[in-house]
Amino acid sequence: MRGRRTVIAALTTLLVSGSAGAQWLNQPSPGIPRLPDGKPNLSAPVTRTADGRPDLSGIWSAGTLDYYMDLAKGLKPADVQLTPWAAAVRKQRMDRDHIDDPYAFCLPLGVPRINFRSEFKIVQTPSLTLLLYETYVGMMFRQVFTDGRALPKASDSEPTWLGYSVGRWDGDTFVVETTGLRDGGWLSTRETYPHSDALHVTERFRRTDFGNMELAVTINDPKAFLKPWTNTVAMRLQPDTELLEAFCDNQLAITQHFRDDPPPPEPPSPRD
Amino acid sequence: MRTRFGAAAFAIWMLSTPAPAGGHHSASAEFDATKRIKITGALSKLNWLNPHIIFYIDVTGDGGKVANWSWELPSPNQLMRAGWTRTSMKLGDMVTVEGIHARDGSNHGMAMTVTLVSTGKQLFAGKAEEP
Repeated sequence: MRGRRTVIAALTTLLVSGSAGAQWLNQPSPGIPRLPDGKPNLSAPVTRTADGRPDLSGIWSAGTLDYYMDLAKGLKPADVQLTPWAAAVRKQRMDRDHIDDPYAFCLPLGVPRINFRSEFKIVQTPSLTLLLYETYVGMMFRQVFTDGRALPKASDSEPTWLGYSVGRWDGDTFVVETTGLRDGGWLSTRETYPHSDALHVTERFRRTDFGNMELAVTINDPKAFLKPWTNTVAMRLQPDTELLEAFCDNQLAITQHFRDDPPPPEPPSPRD
Repeated sequence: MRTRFGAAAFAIWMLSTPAPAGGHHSASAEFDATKRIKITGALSKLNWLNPHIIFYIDVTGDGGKVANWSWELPSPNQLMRAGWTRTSMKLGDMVTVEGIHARDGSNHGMAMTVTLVSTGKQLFAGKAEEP
């Protein structure tokens, strides 16, 4: 053990000394499995929490923007068929060359797009799991309640950017159900798929080893898509780093150069 | 490349490329990809802030007249994860910037490459060298 500690201490010194001004970007993660050379052992088995669940804790990233650009990447067109309302909204967004993306105006990415833009941290407790997001327009969080509460009824809840989420375990898979999302959100940045306020997102998190997690996202939105569709994204652990602060400090200096041609309002989704 | 999703829009979204392109929105709201600019000046100010870094350079033109230009870079968080810091470029440094011009015609653009004149080193591209 002493040898291992020495290696880790040396590694710590090396990393910290080279990171002046970089906050905790090179902070060694405590308590994670390591190889003899001190590097994180990303193929180690998944650790478990005191209540026996797989521990999903850590900072995660898709390591690619592919699914931020196109959540349906790799799926067949027949699997992702838009309703006439959604097709019209998508066409307007494409015709306007994506300039109306709320994220460009420092608004949240929405669910599930927020998972695929930048790093997020999972903090897991028995009754609540937190998803902490470092987006470049602001640090954001989602609360996934596992205390047995039900999702709020649509009639009882104000629609929000990040919705309302509850979680449960299906074997070793953490299943998160989210509803209560705002009408007209963006599911895909480049492909501009809209969703409606009827969107029900299911995210299935399955950590396969210490360094890897599958995230299967199901989009069920009868107002926007003819049938539900699912895509699975490989998420990778980001060890020995930390989230950074991010707010929209420079936004005013950017938007003063934006095109001044406000969009026609997007038509709302069909009412129930 | 004549699709709706133009080359510059794609570039500004591409964060995995070595060029310091990448942003949080489509470039076309702000920049004209057909208007390429290459300009050299001295760093006068650096706002190392989200969602995009903005740096300012003083460009001396014919007759000694100085114009101030502002340039956008990706999120500082992305660059810091690649090892770059706010001291990678220092006030007074002469830099050559290649990028695309703002649609409003002001002295503003999106930087695609930033090169330190004294060494020829390209800044904010790929991984920074270990100190």
